[in-house]
Amino acid sequence: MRTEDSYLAVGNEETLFAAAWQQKLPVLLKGPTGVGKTRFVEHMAQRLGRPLITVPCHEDLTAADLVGRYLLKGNDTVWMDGPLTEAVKRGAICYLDEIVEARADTIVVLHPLMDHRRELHIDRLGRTETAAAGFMLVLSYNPGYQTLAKDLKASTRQRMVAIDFNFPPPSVETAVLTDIQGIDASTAARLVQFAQAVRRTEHPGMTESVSTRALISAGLLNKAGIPLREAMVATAAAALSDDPAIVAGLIELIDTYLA
Amino acid sequence: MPTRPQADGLALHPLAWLAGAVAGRPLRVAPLPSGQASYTDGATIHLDASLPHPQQRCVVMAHSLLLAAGSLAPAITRHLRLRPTVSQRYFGLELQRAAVLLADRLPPGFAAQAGLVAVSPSQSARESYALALAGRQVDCPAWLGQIRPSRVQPDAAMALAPGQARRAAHEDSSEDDQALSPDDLNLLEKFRTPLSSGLGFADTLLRLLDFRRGSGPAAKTNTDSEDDGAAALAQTPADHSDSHLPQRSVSARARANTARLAAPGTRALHYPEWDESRQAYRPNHVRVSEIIPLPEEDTGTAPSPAVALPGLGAALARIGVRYQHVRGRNKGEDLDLDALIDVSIQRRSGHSMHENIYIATEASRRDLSVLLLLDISRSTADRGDDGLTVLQRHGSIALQLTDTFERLGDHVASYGFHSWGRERVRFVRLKAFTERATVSADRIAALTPSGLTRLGAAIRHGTALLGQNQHHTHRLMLMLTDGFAYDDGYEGRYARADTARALAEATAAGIACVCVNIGTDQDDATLRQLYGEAAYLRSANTTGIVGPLRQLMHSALYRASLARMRRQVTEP
Repeated sequence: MRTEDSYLAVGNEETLFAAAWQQKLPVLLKGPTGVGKTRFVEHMAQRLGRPLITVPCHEDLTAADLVGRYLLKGNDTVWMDGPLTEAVKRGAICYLDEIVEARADTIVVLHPLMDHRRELHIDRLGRTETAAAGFMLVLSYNPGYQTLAKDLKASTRQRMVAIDFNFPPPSVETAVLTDIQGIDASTAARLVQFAQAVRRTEHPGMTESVSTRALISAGLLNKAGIPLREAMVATAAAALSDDPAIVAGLIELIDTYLA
Repeated sequence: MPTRPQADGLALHPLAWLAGAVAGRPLRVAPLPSGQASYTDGATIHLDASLPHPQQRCVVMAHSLLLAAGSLAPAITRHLRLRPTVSQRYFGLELQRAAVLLADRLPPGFAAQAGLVAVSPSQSARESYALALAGRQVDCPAWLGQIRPSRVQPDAAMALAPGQARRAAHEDSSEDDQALSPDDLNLLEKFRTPLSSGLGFADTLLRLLDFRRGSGPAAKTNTDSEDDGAAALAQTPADHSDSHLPQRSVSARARANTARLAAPGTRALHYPEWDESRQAYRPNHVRVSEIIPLPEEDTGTAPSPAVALPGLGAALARIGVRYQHVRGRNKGEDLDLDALIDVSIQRRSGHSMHENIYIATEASRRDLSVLLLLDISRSTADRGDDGLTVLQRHGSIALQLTDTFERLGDHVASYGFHSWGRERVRFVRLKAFTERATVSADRIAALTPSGLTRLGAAIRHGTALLGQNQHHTHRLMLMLTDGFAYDDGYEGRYARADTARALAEATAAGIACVCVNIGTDQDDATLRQLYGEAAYLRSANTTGIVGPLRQLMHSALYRASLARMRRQVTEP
């Protein structure tokens, strides 16, 4: 069994990422949740020998959360660097996960960092930081996610090198379950077949599909002694939708393929 | 094991997913009364509901397999008509071929349950047909069902694209494929001219014998057909006893429709009407009732064609949301100087205090209630250049709006409306506030344009419906009509004035009103007279309407909130 940072490549994503880093270009990882984007970034950070600073983005994330703010310490106000500033100074890889969740006025802060200038403006301090060597900006983006409200603006998207992350092909997905997670081969094959079946049905009421992560969870529960069908119901059916009709349909699929 | 929900005709059948998973495209599943053999028409798998559940699962997978493997290509199924033995042999052979071809899609137990082996004697559909003709067969259990060649829709071979599936002419008197002997049918075929639109001798004969020609283009776009029992009802005086129904033969479906319309409505309410000439209201002038569409026997209705509305989700999410500055937060963009000074003073005097010294920009929560009113009068049956009727176009828009609003977390309801005079204004429930959006797809697909349009009454009832949702600040009423206000004793200036008045009443009550006309014939001047001050959108087609629609909703909501504030000032 390999170590925690192992990553099984599907296509050319590793070489593409390494080349982008070398040429100081920002990278956008596009794909549904649970397919290995975060695992990939961790793996690449280790390979390239850079520290990794991860920021999970959400609706309340402000520019100050990224860049930094003044805090009260005793009788003084003291400036604290945010994670983005820290990455810029240390030459780390800054990974902004689910960037569409953040507001547009927050994302604006990133623009000067994404072109050849590689600068971060800190208005509060009246200073501009230039990115240290080794700095890289990585964003991840789930095009089909629930919050329809937000999409990356074209101007943001165009500045980046994009890597598409889809559900891995069955052979890779099975290998992820067996080699990395230590799940036995026959269970892994059944789980992957089930996931393929779900992904073939595209239903308008469902915004997510069964991800590799859900399969891993089910497999691990099964290793701990839960029957496979119950494990999959727990990780997939209830988690994917609240609509009882959809859940019933999913349970039929689980019963058919994993009973 | 969790209990399975009862599958009624309108809910999505739990096995529909399995069907889609094996076929690789969305399919529907509908139950058949017991004893009838299962079959598929290319869009729906009609399933014998009396089978034990594991067998039902197997049947669904079997028929999905056939569709995925292209076994039901019309080019071949055409030759299977009136040949039940060949058809059954072909069924078995194709099932065997498909199961081998698509083995990776099937769970391990399927082959054994269906009595199949690992090797297929045939490598293509055509080869299976040839083998079937020659007498070769594969034995499989009878409960797996059959192929019904006359029911196969023309596009069963390809992926189901919206707008291409057509309604199958499905009558309660089931069409019996084996009734006519081959000789008789050959004789009739000779009389059938390919260019006739149903007037040929053969068609007359067939109609006399109660055989339909199938899903041809001439079938079922005529809204005065017998199936619309409403036409029968409209001629009767305004009382609700069955004895007044005209005694002519109508199909069972029309009878059901009539009974439904004649039944006392679930809630009958009376509304006034504005008489422009007297500048006064006519109290209790109009009677409105609601119908809940009954779950019907599966009528083989295909999903409605969809109209493309790109960017709808993003657009709708931005209405009704404001960012505002909030002081005294413990994190934010800027320092709140007043709070900061307070805290510093407190600290210097030895007290420790909170750190709420920031100003944050926060989004105000969405607080929106939406009511969609869909005009389903006879005039919405007009077909436009894109091949869709006004009702189909508006219905698709309504469906997508309902879906999107629900996903954004808003309260949304949608109703169809039509009328036959002032005593019979009907609201057909497509989705109540408490129901989920998934129920409306089937109900919209089953709508048949009929009746007339008493717009004023519809708006007033809509206002009442929205008024019940008091806990929402923002209320939006969106009407999709063809812009013709016309009913018994309701036309011309009188109708337009009453409609405009009803809209004004709604706006004064704090409801944002937006009227949408897509692909209808009305001109701007008439519409402006009709809708008065309310926002309306008129467009020949649906390209690029998302942006203007959003703007209209936004401005209508803004105006409504002004009206609300004004009311709060005047009513302390």
